[in-house]
Amino acid sequence: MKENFEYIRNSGGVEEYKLKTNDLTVLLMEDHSAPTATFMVTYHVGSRNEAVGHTGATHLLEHLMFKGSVGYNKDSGNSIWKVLQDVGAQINATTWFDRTNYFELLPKQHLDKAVSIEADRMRGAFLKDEDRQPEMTVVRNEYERGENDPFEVLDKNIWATAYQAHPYHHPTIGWRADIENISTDRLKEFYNSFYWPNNATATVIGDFSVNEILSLIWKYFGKIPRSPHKIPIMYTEEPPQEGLRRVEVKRIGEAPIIGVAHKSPKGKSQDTYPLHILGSILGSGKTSRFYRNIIDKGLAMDVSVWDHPFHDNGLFVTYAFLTPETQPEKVEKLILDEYDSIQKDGVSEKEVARAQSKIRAMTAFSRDGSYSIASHLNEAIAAGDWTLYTTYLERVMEITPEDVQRVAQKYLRESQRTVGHFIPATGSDEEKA
Amino acid sequence: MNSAKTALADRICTTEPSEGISLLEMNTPIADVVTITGSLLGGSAFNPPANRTTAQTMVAMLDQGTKSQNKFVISEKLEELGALLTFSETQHQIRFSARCLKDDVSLVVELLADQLRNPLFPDEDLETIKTNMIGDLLRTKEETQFMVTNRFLREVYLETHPNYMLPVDDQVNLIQKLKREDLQAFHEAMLGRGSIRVVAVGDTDTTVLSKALRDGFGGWRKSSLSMADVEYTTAKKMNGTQQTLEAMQEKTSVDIMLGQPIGIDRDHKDYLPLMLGHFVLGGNFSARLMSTVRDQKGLTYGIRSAVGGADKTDGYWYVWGTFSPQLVKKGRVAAMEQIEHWIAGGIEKNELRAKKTTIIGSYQVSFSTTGGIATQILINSERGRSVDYLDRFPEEIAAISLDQVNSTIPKYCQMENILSVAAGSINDNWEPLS
Repeated sequence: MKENFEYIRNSGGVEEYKLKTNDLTVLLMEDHSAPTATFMVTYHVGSRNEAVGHTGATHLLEHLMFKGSVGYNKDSGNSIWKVLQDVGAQINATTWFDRTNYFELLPKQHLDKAVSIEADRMRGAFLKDEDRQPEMTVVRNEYERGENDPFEVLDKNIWATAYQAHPYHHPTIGWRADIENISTDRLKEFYNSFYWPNNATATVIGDFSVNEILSLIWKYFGKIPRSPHKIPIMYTEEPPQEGLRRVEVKRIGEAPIIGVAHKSPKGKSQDTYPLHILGSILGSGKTSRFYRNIIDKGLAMDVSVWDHPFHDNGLFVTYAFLTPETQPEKVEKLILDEYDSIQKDGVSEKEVARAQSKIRAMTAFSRDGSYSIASHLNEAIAAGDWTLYTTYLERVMEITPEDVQRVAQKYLRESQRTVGHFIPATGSDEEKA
Repeated sequence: MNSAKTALADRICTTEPSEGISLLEMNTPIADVVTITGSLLGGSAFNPPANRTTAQTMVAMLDQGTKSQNKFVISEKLEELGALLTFSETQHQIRFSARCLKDDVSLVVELLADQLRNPLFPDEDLETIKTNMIGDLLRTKEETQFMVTNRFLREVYLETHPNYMLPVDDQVNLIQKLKREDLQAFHEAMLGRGSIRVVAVGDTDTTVLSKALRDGFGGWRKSSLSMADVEYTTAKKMNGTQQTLEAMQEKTSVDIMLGQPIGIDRDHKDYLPLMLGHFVLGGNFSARLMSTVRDQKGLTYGIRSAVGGADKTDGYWYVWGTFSPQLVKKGRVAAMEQIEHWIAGGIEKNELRAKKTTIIGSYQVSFSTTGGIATQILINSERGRSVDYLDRFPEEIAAISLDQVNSTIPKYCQMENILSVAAGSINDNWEPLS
């Protein structure tokens, strides 16, 4: 069966193949620790491929992909949920800026069902208007649930303020009016533009043999043609930021939240690694600088640094969930003082070594279970190269204190900063009356 | 399933490294990683009546330093290894959980034992932890799902029941009152060898683990605490349907819970048939509630049904759902229609067959990580079951008949006694605010 696939490379125990007939990328890793397997299809399309008027389309389409396809549908008594959940599979799909992924974690003897279903809906999804209407209200309720959460609302506002032209400006779930009004035809257009084997990666991790799984993939995906058109590219670039930006969200709540964000490099940049070390030094564990200077002083319940690598430039954000009486300005200053200190005086070798140890252990933990491995690969695929996952530890272990100081100086500049405050209001606040 | 069942029990090595400590260990093919989880009695059900936040606060203080080393020294040791060690509390247990590399097991167990045995409860850290706990609690008042659960459990149980949840403001007041001496007294009275269970899964070494546990816990005082020490009243009697609202401001989505107490716990013969019946009603995406209320009618992002709070106490069944304020009334009606149809007509043979396969398959999938395996082994042991039960569980599910499920449902679920609770920005009639 291997003759239908071109072997591309191996990194960290993961083998990459390309299906010759349609350029589907296939990633395989045998893991016989449990009699289960994860099958995941990652489409290289996310909310970065959307524009004004159809924000949230990728996510709404993801929902409609469960409504039935030629081979698996309710009318035939074999809907996707039924077939897979009846055998105990954990299934779902997620959408984010750079990718959409569909996955099944299931007993290995049912792997063929997952492969068959994903192949069937790659080009055979129904996408009926009669399904879109009820699903729109479902997604709108998902949006409403997000709006219930002060943190989600603040986060959404920070991204929308930091990014003005680039589509990371809008949340993956979309703006409410777009969710409500996007047409089924537009969703179909989206599907027909992006849902093709040459714009997808099938990842299989678990208890199988390579020959057996390649045979299954050939059986179900081999007949799907590559796209008759070039996959559209997203070419919008964010113009340079030229000064500090601020955003405030004020609504009923109990405690303030602040976010201090700086533009960060593309996920594939070598600067990603020292930034991760910097994030760990600042915000991971009781030895971190923010724990000692903020949490341990009773100023915040939690402070965390978030620096997920995306396909395009992203954000390095410190979020602080303040104790109810704490003034946001005070904690904002403490965060910025810490940045200044690192820019001027750097970090110690001990701090870097400790961060590296944590990452080394986390990397080992990330290999615990087929879904975890597939999920990490999914994010690396989204950032543009799956080997970002398998080579991550090696890159991290090369980082020096000088690298950390350099990236702090390069990225944590005021001109690239966006600060967000969530200010809890009470029902009696004048503005809210 | 037979070969898998036999293999599971056979792969767990049970020993007693020291009196009052049981070690359940399972070696799996993962390289280098060891997951340790465990527990001992002393959870919230053992709180002194005067302050029901004592166990929770005591647990939050366990990682704040010991008599011989402060919290930063401990954290540095752990973090330099990349190891994780956390404490939490459940209704009956104080739980601990650690992940580390194989070579670091001894040091992690040593730190675990020191924190459990010799906490210092420093005054200034107690004040910080109390401030943080209160802040976290106040933030839960922003969450519709938390608030609906809190209100539902208050409506179903009396304050003397372990499933009862204190109102948030009451919890805040009680935490404020706690002093170092309260935590010391609770620690002294409750914790010790006796009910300690340690589960280790992954790249394990029995000799290393046993020695570390003996070194860490040997010589610690004995605790005579037992489940029999938990005294509680049974749930309130539901008389007629009731509809209650936990009013919240400026919420764009409303959470609801419908349900009633069942008067039995997990060990009762009716528990598994009732659980299976609920799985058909709302156990997963292909169950009745999601198929109709979400998939067909588009009224909700999520709705589910389950039996809860039945570990060694009389539990409850519930349907939980989330709706926009404009659709919550419609959503409740749609859910009630499904519940009524389910109680009156029971479930069908093909549904039973499908959900049995689902539960058995999910069970198999839950053993696919060291964390999943460790949790299953620990919970099974806490429930007082031998490791053989891990293998018998799928058989018990497979043996449940349609008659058993359909005769059990109406015994515990009656339309005329369903309590309905909502949390969100709606009025008392569950209509949107004008």
